[in-house]
Formats: sequence, C-alpha cells, structure tokens
Amino acid sequence: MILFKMAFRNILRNRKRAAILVAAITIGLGAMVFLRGFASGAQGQMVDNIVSIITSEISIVHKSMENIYNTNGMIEDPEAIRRLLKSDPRIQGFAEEVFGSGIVASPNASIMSFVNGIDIPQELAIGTRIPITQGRVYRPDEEHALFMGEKMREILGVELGEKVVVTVQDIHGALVGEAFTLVGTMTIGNDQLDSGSVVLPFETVQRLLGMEGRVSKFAIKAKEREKIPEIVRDLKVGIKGLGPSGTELAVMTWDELIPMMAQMMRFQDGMIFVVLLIVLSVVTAGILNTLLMSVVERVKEFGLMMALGMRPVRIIGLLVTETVILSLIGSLGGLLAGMSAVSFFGHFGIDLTRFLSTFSNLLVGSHVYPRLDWSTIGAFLAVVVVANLATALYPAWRASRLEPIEAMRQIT
Amino acid sequence: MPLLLRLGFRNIWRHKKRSLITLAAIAVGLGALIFLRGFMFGAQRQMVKNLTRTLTSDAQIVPAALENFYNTNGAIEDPDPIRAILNEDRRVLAYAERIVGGGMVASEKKSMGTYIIGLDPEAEERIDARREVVRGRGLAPGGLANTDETSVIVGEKMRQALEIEVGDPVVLTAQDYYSSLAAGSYTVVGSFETGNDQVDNTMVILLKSSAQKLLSFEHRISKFALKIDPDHSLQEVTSDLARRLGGPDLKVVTWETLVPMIAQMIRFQNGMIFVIMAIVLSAVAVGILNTLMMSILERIREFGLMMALGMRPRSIVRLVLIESLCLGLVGTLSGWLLGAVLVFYFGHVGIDLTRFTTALSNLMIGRHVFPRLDLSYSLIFAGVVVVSNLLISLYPAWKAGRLAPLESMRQAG
Repeated sequence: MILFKMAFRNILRNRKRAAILVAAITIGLGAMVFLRGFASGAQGQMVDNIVSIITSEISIVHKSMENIYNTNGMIEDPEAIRRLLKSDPRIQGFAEEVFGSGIVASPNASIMSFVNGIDIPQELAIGTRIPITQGRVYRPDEEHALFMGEKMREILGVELGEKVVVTVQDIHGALVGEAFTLVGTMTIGNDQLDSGSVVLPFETVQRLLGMEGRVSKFAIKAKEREKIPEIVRDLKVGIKGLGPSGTELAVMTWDELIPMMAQMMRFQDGMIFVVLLIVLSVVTAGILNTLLMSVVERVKEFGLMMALGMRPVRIIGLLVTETVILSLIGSLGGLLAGMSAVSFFGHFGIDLTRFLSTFSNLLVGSHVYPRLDWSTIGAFLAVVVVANLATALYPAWRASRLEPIEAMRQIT
Repeated sequence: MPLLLRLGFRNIWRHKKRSLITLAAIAVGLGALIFLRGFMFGAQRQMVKNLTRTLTSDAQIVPAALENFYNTNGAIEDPDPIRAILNEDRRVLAYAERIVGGGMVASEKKSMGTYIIGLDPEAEERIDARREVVRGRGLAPGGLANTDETSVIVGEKMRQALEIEVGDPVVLTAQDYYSSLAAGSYTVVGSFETGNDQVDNTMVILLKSSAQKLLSFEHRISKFALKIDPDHSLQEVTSDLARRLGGPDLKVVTWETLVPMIAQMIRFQNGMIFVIMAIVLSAVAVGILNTLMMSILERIREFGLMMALGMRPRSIVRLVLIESLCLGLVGTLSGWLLGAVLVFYFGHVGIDLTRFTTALSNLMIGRHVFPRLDLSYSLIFAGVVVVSNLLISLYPAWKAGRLAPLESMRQAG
C-alpha cells in the first residue's frame, strides 16, 4: 500500500511530465483504436454488401463452382438439401437459385453475361438486397421479363420496355435463345457484375438451361450471424451424410466465393498490425526516456531510502507501480478517446461521397461507419500495457543497483 | 548565432542517453514509415506490372462503346491510320492488335461463358505481355506455315472446369460482327495460369486471324494494346494520342480505367498511408515535446542566470528551437537512412509471401514482395517530421523565454 502512495506522490510531483506521458499513450492507443474501427467499419460494410447483394451468408453449391466467376455444376437432388436445411433451427431461411452463362443481345450490341434465375419473394425473405436503379424487378406473373446491370443496359443501348435476346447453352449442349422485356436495371458497384449480369424468373432460367427439378445454389441466411461458422461446419457434415450426391457438393461463405475481396481485407489487417508495432515502439521510446529521467532526478532520494533500509526489490516495485499507473491511465484515456471517436463517427458516418467514384468497386458505400472491434481492442490494450511494463524494467533495475552512499552524495 | 549553436549542441550532449532515445524514437518512427511505404509501393508496382503484362497492357485504344475490361463491344473499323500514328510516335514502344468477344465455350461434358481473345503471339511478345503456360504449349507465332489456326489455349481453371485435357476439342460460340451466332471447333493445345481466378476461369486465347474469321471481323480489330515508354507520363501520352486520333468512335484508356478495382485499391492505400503517418508522427512529436519540457525544467536556474547576465528572452527561445531542430534533423536523417537501408536490403532479397501466396494470388502481387523506395513520399514524411517537431517545440521555447530571472534562479534544483 505504501508503494502505491509513494508512486502516486511521485507522479503528482511532476504533473506536466506525467500529463505528457499519459497524452502520448492516449494519442497512440486512441488513434490505433480509431484506425482499427475505421477499417472494421469499412470492411464490415463491404461484407454486408457482398453478402446481401451478391453471395448470401452461406451457399451450398456444386464443388466445381469454385467462386462467383463460374457457374459450373448443379445440385441434382435439391429435395434432400431442403430437408436438411429445414431441420436446422439455426437457419432462418433459404432461397434457391439457378444460373448459367450466355450471351445477351440487343439490336446494337451483344455481351457475354451471367444469367441468374431467382425467385424474388424467396430472396427478400433471406434479406437479399436488389439495388434497383431504374424501373423495377419482374412480377411473379411475368415469365419473359428481366432486369440487368445499369452499365450493361448502357452498353447494349436499350431502354426500359425494350426487348433483348438471351442465348444460353443448355445442359445437353443445345443453344437456346428467347426474347425478354427489360423491366429494370440495378447498380451493384462491381464493374464486372454491372456490365455482365441479367436476372430472370427462376422457373424461366431452369427451363432455358434444361435444369427442371435441379438448382445451382442454395442461398442460406442464419438467424444469428455469430452462428455462421458453426452452421457451416455442421452443414459440411450434413451433406456428407446424404451419400454420393452430397459428396459432390460444397458449403461456402462469401470469402471463398469472392477471394479477391477477402485477400484485400487480410492484407489490410496485416498492415494495421504493422502500424500498431510502429506506433508502439515510438510511444515506448518516449516512456523509456521519461522513466530514465525520473530515475536520474531522484538518485539522491533513492540513496536515502536505501540507506534507511528499503530493499532494492521494493525500489523496482515502486518504479514499476508508477509505470503501471501511468500506462493504465493513458490506456484508459486512449480507449475512451478512440471509442468515442468511433461511436461519434459510427453514428454520423464519414462521408466518402467525394471519393465515391474512386471506391465504388470496393462496395463500401458512400459513408463509412466505423465500428468497435472488441477483440482487437483487448489485444491492443494488452500489448500497450505489457510493452510499457517491459520498458520500465530497465530503469527500475538501474535504480535498484545504486550504491546508497554514493547516491546520496551525488550533486544534482 | 554560432554561440547559440554551440550552447545547443552542448545541451544535447549533456544528456547523451536522453538525446539518443529521442533520436531513436524519431528514427524508428520515420524509418518504419518509409519502409512501410516502400513495401506498399513495391507491392503496388508488382501488381500493376503483372496486371498490365497479363491483361491490359499500359494503355489501349478501344472503340468508344467499350466501358471496361469486362465488355467486348464494338470494333475499330479502320485500323490503318491508327497504325500509322502509332508507328510514328516514339513514346509508344510497341503495340499489339487484339480481338475480343464474349461467348461460350463447350467441351463434350460442360459449357461455360468465356471471354475470347484473339492475339498475335509475336506482337504480344513485343509489348512484353506474359501468361505463364502450365500445361502443353503456347500458341506459335503466325506466318505462312501457320499450323495453329484452329488451336486455342485456355485458363488452367477453365480446363479443369471443362473436364478436358490438352489435345481435346472445344467448341466456341459467339455473336459475330453482324450479330449472328457463329461457332467453330478448336483444339486445346495448352493452358495458362495468371493467379487471378477470374481470368483463369473465363479466358480463351486464339490467334488473331482465327478470331477475325470466327467473329467475321475481316480486317477490323477490337483494340490496340500499347506499351508506353515508362520515361513518359502515361496520362500525357494517352491524352496526346486521343487528340491525334480524333473522332468520337475511339478512345484511349489506361489500365486504371480497364480494371478499376485494382486502381481504386491502390488509391485507397495511398490515402491510408497518410493517416498512418499522422498517427505515427503525433506519437513522435509527443515524445519530443516531453524531452524538451524535461530539459527546460532542469535548466530553469541556468536560464534565469543567463537572463540575469543579460541574455535576451528571444535568444533563449532561439536556443530551445535550435536544440529541437538539431534533434529533429539528426533524427530525420538517421530515420530516412534506416528506412532506405531496410527498403534496399529487402528490395534486394525480397519478402517471402509464400505462406500467404495462395491467399494473395488474386491481387497478382506474386510470391515475393520487393519493396522499393518511394522517394517523393519519403521526402514528404521527412519534411513533415522536421516541421511538426519545430512547431511543437514552439510551446516549450515560448515558456522558457517568459521565465522571470530572479524567481528562476531562486528555484530549488
């Protein structure tokens, strides 16, 4: 207890210095928390957009469909999967999709395109967002209507209400073409999809591709996001249990389907960690400096204390206690500063409209809303406190090795 | 002035350990920033290089209808005058003519959508284009005895998806120039790999002449892929070319327009590094402030004495600023050297990303990152360090200048 009292007194003796030291830790940690929050927010929005617009939370597909750039394989026995999904209480719902690739042609131009067949009510039920730019989606009674990427419409040079021809190769190898009325356009934000995808009624695509009774993909939504890894694991076991038809299938999440995005985020995460190390080493140097100073200043005092019978270990204890107090206050301040910045901007958002065209393909959206990332905050905090403690050991050890008599004799 | 400088040096020298630690903080902060930027810069250059070599080339002349890399519309009706312009522009080192079309490829078992690219292997070599052939062989250069008229190479992932081997036939179907469906049968002679899933999954390459025949392009072509002299600004050359080509049917685009996602990512990173700089430098600045405040507190009596002996407050302010400037300059210099040495060392041996290489293949960085010194950024960082240190030392200097001589001398050490 006396150690605490002495430590506090020593800290208060030189308030300005203590304040600067605390400020250094506060700024460093606060900035890191905010940076991480910004990155988590941007990444979270990317994932939300990817999941709700492009891939869905969990997908069951044929294992030869390795990512969203290909449309290989199909699910031969959807009934078994339906039973499997319905029996899992953690799954909120699922939608069935069928897709292939083909050529979409207007009188002016033609484009290679993904041809997606979805059932609108099913998709809405699992929270899929369709970012409509013009017009609308097709109605349930419209068999020959479609919507497409806005960019694609511009390239094809067609207007809403006009007809385009969609040609696909069915699963038996025959070419099938039919005319469809364009009822709407969408802007996903990914150039490739916006300039090369059409969406048609589910049954129509199934019929065009000759895939009656079969589907390309189950898009699945979990009741709780946190349970997704667990559900994926169980589904993987579940489909294996379906026998030979099940081993042909794969359960995937968005990061496997759009590997480029996932890789980009991993790259960013690594980068932030490196930045943390840099900031930390700079802050630590400042702390080391301050502690060394305060030891030099108090050489006489330490000499006196030791002459009066204080053991060297306690001197170490005293200095370490001082550091712990300072770094705890600094870390607390940093956490508070970082967290309030994150919550403030998390509420109001950081406007990226100026850069919107610059970043549209990253699917972040027009505003970034930083989010608190509790797991990394804990790690940052631990690293800061441990690093400070480790730094304190050297000056503390120096102080404990002072020779009492000589120390007292020293002129300041 | 020399007196102040001498005083300043003496004061820095008086506390060697403290000065060293402060210098180390500046040097580590700045050096790490420069290295980080070097790493990023190197990775970005590799990304761009791989991207331009495998896909886009530096710039392209395309029909105005073509929006980005993913669409294949329109044709250049009369390529001859363009060839003349390109041949005479010395900044265009080489060019290759390409035909692109969207369509479908079918094997006996499977079919899928594809980008069909028709090219001239010799010209591609001249513009330094590269796609690594992993099975079979690449297309042979054209000429009179051309035997590759019905050969194609496909992405390795596509080969697997189509469930075919080298030597197997495939059928290509596409909409031709006159909008009717055209089909042709070809033999797969090889497969290539770029690391980018999308390319490896969807691309079929054949000879330019065969593609012209399949798509009924006749003499027309889809685009010119250009290799631009790196000593000239890409922007300048392309806008020059655009002006000389004239006409609303054609445009000149750089790789950034063709693959916007990579360009956006690079721009995002370039902005991010400044945020990181602000964070690191504010931590450095607080360290310096701390050191200066301490050294002034210690010397209150000394300052009081100097002032009592007739030194003007302004000189005291200057003294503190000189000390901070010396620390800042030496720290900046050593930090810059530290960063440069790190960048050159790792730029030479490379940083092995093999552990992550499958993870990062889609970014087309390659297996090793070779950091590269980004001179302009490193100078900006160094400048900001010096200036911010000077700014932050204004406060302690001002405080020192306002000391009252008598009271200061009386203060207990």
